[in-house]
Amino acid sequence: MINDDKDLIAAMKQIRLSEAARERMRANLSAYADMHAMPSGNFRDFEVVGFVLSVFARSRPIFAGAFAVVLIASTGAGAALAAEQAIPGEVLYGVKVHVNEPVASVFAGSGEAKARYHAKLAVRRVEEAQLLEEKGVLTPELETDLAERFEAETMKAVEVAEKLADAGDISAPIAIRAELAENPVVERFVAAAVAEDATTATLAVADEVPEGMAPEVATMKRAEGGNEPVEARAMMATMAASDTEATEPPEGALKKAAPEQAMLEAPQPSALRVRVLRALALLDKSVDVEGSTAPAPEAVAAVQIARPKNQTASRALLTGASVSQAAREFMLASTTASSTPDRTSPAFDPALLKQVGREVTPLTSEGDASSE
Amino acid sequence: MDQDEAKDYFLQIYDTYADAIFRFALVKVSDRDVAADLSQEVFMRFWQALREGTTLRNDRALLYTIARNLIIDWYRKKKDQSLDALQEDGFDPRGADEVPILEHAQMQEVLKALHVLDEASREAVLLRYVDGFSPAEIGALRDETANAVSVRISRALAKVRTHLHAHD
Repeated sequence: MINDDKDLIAAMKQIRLSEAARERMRANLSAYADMHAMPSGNFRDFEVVGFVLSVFARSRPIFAGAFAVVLIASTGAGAALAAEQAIPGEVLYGVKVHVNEPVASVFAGSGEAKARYHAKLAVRRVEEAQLLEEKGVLTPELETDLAERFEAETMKAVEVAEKLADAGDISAPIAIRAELAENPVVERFVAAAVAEDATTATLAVADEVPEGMAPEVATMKRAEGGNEPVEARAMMATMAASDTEATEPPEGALKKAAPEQAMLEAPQPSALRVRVLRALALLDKSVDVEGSTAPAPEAVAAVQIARPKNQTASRALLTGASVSQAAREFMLASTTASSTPDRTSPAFDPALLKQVGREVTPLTSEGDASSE
Repeated sequence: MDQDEAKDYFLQIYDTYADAIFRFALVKVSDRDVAADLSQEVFMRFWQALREGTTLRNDRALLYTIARNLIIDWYRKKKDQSLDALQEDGFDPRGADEVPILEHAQMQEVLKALHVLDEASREAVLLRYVDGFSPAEIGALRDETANAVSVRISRALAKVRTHLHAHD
């Protein structure tokens, strides 16, 4: 007996289809679904593919068409997602590099954020190289390919870093540099390169700056001042090793090391290694202010924490002021410590991802209070 | 999604929402058989939406929207019928072949109690207290503000209370 609104609501909750009616309806619907089957080609995946194509179709050459065909012929957006993990040599790697990354770069914003995104892509190339090396399948051709891609990305990052540095923004180049240099993968890569070079006698070159050495090396030597970045030493060693044809072998090296032997046995510096070190050097150069030393790690860290707004404080750090003094400057300028949001996430709508993924989970709406 | 996966997903949606959609339709059309027919059609249309690749951000909202639209269409077809005739049909104890008598009776009692309310209020009360929609979500379905919905609901409850107590 329904006596008040509460009774009414309780009674309403109990209304349901009878078992028989429910089963019958289910059977009808099942048959209906069979009769009107999903079209092959997965329209819902097409939605995502169409979006992806429309974004970059304008700026990409015919390769886009080829990869799009691959994309559609396979499992549609499922392929785009799987491609995120692809390494060179796999079919989906093309999708990763020619589809996913360009699309995501559209959303990477501009200026510093974009440069950091390119640095991130560069790091990816290093990661891929290491993966391949671990598997033992890193051929010279693959390595060169990765090295060139790496260079393409870092050049974009360096370009922005230099431009920003010229415009007076100092902390942005630092952040961009950090994106590459302070990545654990890259650090390991560089450390391994140094370790390898340490076995060759050409490392002895680090103690001198002979004439005729490449300018970058000279800069690095100067920057050695306080901290002697690891990259500097490795850089010079590598440059020296690869400079066999360019200039006369420095006398210092010849004298200090087992001469001809060292030159002959010096391992061919990997194409990627050279580029990594070169990129780091260039980024360091963009950070280099008024010929002062390369920023101390604490300074870099402090600037990153404080973020780009305060030019005065940044300068204070880089001209050798103590970290605490710089901190005072920060507080005076009362900058908010915010970090640049990472806009390098895939360009796909998360809700859409869920739909085209293989999940068959019952959905809940936002704010779904009770369940049936 | 291929056919098998889509169908699995679809039937899962059905299992979850069949009763809710039926209840929703029943409260609005006051006729069990009509409500059952409409419910089936709601799910058929939902399947079509899946086929067409409609971007489904919120399947529940889509289901209810389809249901509302179908019911509106149904009302338009019934426009010429008098309101009284409609109400009488609703209370007609139809060939209750599958439904236990007690359940059927209770259903009738609910419908009778709800009939003091207009259709919009019935729907709002159902969605709010039985299906757990928030006033904002209800407003989104009906294109009203959450505030308007809340007001409507409290007025509806008051009216129901008055009506039920008057019959004690």
